[in-house]
Amino acid sequence: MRIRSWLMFGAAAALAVACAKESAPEAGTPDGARTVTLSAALADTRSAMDTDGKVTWTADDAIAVYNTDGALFKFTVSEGAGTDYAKFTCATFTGTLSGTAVYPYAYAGTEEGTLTIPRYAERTDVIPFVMASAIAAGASGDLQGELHFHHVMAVMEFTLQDVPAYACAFKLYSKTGMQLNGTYTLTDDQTGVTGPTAATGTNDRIIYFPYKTAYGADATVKILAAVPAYAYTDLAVRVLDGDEDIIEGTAKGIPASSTALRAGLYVRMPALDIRALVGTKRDKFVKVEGVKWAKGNLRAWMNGTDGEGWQQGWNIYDHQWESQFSLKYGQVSELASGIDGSSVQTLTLDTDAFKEDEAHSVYTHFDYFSWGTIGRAARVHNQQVTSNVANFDLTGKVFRRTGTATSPATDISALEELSGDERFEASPLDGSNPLLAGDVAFWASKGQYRLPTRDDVNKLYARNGEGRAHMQAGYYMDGTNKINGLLFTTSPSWEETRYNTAAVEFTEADMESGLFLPKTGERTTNAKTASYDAKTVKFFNGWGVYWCGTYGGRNAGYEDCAIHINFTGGNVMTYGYTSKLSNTITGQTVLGNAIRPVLND
Amino acid sequence: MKIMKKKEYQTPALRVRPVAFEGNFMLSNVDPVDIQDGSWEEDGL
Repeated sequence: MRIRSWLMFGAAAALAVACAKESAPEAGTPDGARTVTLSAALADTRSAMDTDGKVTWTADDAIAVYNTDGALFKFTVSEGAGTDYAKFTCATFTGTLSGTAVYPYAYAGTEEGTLTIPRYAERTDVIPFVMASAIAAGASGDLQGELHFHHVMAVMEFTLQDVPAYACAFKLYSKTGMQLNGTYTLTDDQTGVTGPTAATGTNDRIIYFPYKTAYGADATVKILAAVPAYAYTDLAVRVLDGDEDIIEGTAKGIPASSTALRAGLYVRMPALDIRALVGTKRDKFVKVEGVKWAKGNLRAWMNGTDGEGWQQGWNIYDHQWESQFSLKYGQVSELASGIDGSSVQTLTLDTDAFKEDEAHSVYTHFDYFSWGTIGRAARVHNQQVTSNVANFDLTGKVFRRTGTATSPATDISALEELSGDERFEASPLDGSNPLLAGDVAFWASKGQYRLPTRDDVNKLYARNGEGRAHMQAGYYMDGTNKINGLLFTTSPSWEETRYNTAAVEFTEADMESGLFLPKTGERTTNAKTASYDAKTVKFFNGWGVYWCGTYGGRNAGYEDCAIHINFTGGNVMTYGYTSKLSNTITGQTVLGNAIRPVLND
Repeated sequence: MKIMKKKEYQTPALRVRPVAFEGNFMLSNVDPVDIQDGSWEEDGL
């Protein structure tokens, strides 16, 4: 039953009252008499404005009626929509009417006299009044005018304003375990419902909505929940992300004065400014399938702004779409890759066009890293790290290399792992320090971030129906720069995983909703060939290749070498093996790939 | 806080004598709702 506008049209109250009086029953009949047909007198719009809280039927309403054999039937409005006196029809009813009708149909229990409220429900504008009526039969079976619907629950209205794009559910919660979903029994006099209290697992309600709902300072969304009548002292709300985790700062309690709920009460809560409640609590990460990813790729930039607590010259980009080339290139005219990202670009590192200013050396700014190397060695390319141990994971670890600066040991699994502050020894960008090896993101951020693990990356490997992240291909317009990439968002439990390789344009809201990995391409030379000198990046804006911290093995096929995620010009995502671009398996870790760190908490 | 006065209605008895169902039937007035403004507490944890 929808009365979506009557609360919003206070200015029209006088008109509405006048109409109601014209249609009022004659003196002497009970107030709200059931024998007066109002359907001819009240237009839809006028009844919807009723500020007395009068409820009217709408055209798509349905009620539940049982027969004496216990079968449930759906009756829909056939006349009287927009009034409080409607005709309901069921074309398939069998047997004999039993004594109770329930509104709405969807809340009727499987047994007569019971109601069922789902734990999860999609947000709609429909006000969820829950009502029941006895069916008082006439002698001939003509039931006209004989039913009267009473509210059996209260309704709570919540308004969320300026909702971050990664929010996608609202949770009403009883802190002491009062039942808020499941099966309820109608009380004999139909003035309410009863149900078990403190029932484990039933003390909440999840009302979900799409990502990006109410995105923007002035945007709002209304959440409506039917709540069993009870004098609660423990109700609270939260806003959830797609993992159903509480978004920090959004847990709010409701005082008992607002939750002395009785059937037919409509409690209108003041709007909550969700972005203000969250504040800076999610500034350092965007969460997908439970993994907290950095909001930008890892970068080394000697004269750039240091990250707080980072190695000198190291940081993450300010924006998810940024990379070394997207700062300078990426114009559609130069990168004719189109919105499907199907073409690739070959670009050259360390040219004048790339350098931030002439004073910088060739090593001052880079964001393509060899695997397992740290400091400038991650940019230099002739000090490869591999592992003789399959599935060796260097995530969150730093090792001291043996050998010499020009010929360091390559088997990282045989190196000494460091602990404490030793792990964060400085390695100036303009000097060669091959003495450390391990997780460059962990080292650069001094433990704040780390490389993703195989499991972290696996959760992004979106495939239909596999319960992993949603994947949407697309591009972001940064001014005139068109940055191709893939957007990953958590696939909530109430959604099927989506995997869409057809590119769309992403907005600021999309960027906030999940993890955007730009197609930064790959430094495909292994640098042992002097003529290349590891300056060539191929497939920029066409392919994306990102490292994780696991070295798969050296034995067979594509499981050899470090695990990465890879997405192609056609936006197909592959996972689990190092690039096929090199024929030298043991040399593949020296290829330069992007790194999107994960928060190390 | 704004509380509307709820109208009084007679409540039909539950479980009246069942009858054979012959066709359409009308559903009459539904109760109005009372409207109340709520408030928040700071801590919802």
